[in-house]
Amino acid sequence: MIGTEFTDRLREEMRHATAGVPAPAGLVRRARRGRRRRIVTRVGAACAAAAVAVAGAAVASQGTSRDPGAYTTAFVVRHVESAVAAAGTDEIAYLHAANGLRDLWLYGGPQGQSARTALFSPAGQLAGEVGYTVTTAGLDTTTVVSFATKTWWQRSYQGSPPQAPKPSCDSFLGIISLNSSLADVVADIRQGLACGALKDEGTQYVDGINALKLVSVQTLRLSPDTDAAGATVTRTLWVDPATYLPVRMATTSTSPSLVGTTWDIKWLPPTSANLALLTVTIPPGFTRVAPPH
Amino acid sequence: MLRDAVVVTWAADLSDAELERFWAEHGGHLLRAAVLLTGSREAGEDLLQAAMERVLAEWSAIEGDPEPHVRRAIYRLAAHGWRGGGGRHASREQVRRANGGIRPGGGVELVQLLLRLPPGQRAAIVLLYWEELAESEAGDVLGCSAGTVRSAAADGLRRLERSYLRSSHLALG
Repeated sequence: MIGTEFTDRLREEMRHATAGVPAPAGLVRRARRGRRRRIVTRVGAACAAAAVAVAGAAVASQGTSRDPGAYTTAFVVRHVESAVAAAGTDEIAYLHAANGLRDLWLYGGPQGQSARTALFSPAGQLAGEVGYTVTTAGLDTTTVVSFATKTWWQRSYQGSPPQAPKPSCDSFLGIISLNSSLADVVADIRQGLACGALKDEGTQYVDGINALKLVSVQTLRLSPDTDAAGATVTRTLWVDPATYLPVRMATTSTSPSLVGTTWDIKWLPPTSANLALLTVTIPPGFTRVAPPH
Repeated sequence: MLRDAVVVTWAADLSDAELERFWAEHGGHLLRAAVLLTGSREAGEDLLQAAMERVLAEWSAIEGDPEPHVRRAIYRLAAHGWRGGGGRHASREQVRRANGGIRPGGGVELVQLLLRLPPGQRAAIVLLYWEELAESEAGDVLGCSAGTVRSAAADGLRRLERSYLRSSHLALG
């Protein structure tokens, strides 16, 4: 029988050995990232073997029957949604417009949403930059640099704490604008996957990646007095089978008021160097002016 | 089915604030348990991260307090010989290299000798003598009976005491 003196000493040593050990910052974030990598590693292997057996997966689009192609689409979509949701808080998205007119860097980190847009002329020259941040407390700051006039302005105002876009098939989150956040982009992708009729269109090479191509066609259920009411929006996603993150997305619409574009996408880890890409740099010699009313 | 899957996924995202709150309240204690089970801060963080990854997969389906789920994941991973840190019996050399161990002139750290126990015995001892759970509660955490916890802890304590006495003798001799 072990004496109480021994067990008391053991208790004391264990308490002493762990006194003051704080919860490490960032561990939860690492766990989310780690979980996503493990999921996509397993899923990537399964898809490569082209022998997906998903128990209980039902396909929700267009009443298709339970054929292997239908299972694969639902399987892929589920993991795209999971990957995109995680990337919305864990990664920086770099979007390059196929028409060459815009580059975007978007991030939804612990401090809030950050975005930087570089605007180019048709000739390919940098015409301006727009920086946009909204903290979790609702402090909204916009910075605009004009290379044509060599001026810049900045405006901040205290708004309400931002809410994540509410996913709903009765609204259209869509077209990426200068005020779009990564949360908006993620919500739009997920809206397309949830609300549109989905079709797996096989694979296509994008930037050296044999990407899975998913097409979603959504008829907008908007108020009849809106321009785009009843319009059809077609979202095409090209998805990296290794990560289930989109590497390209294209949006088109039958409504002239919804002008979509095609974006090539890269997902970057939030290192210090990459986070610096989110900040608008004021070029030396530029004059600060008052923000427009 | 697809719409339900999307709703579940969105629900998981809407609980991010809840996840952060949980971490602020419980993260320190859970890490301390992981450090005791693995013998170092670094290995403890790895074990805790592995446990969190498992629980995150079911976060949105958890009803009530998620803390018991994370605690169960930590202890079960550790008790089943989780590879990432301290899952195997620590070698004598590992014990010496760790802080403490056998110091010349006396002073054997029991908590370092804990690392030399089989993982199941180590986990039972930490649950009973640091978490101060009852045997039945410890059994719930480890997924075994109270009797199994009792005998694992008793075997572990006997080994610890023998190691301690031998090490003390060596330190003094």
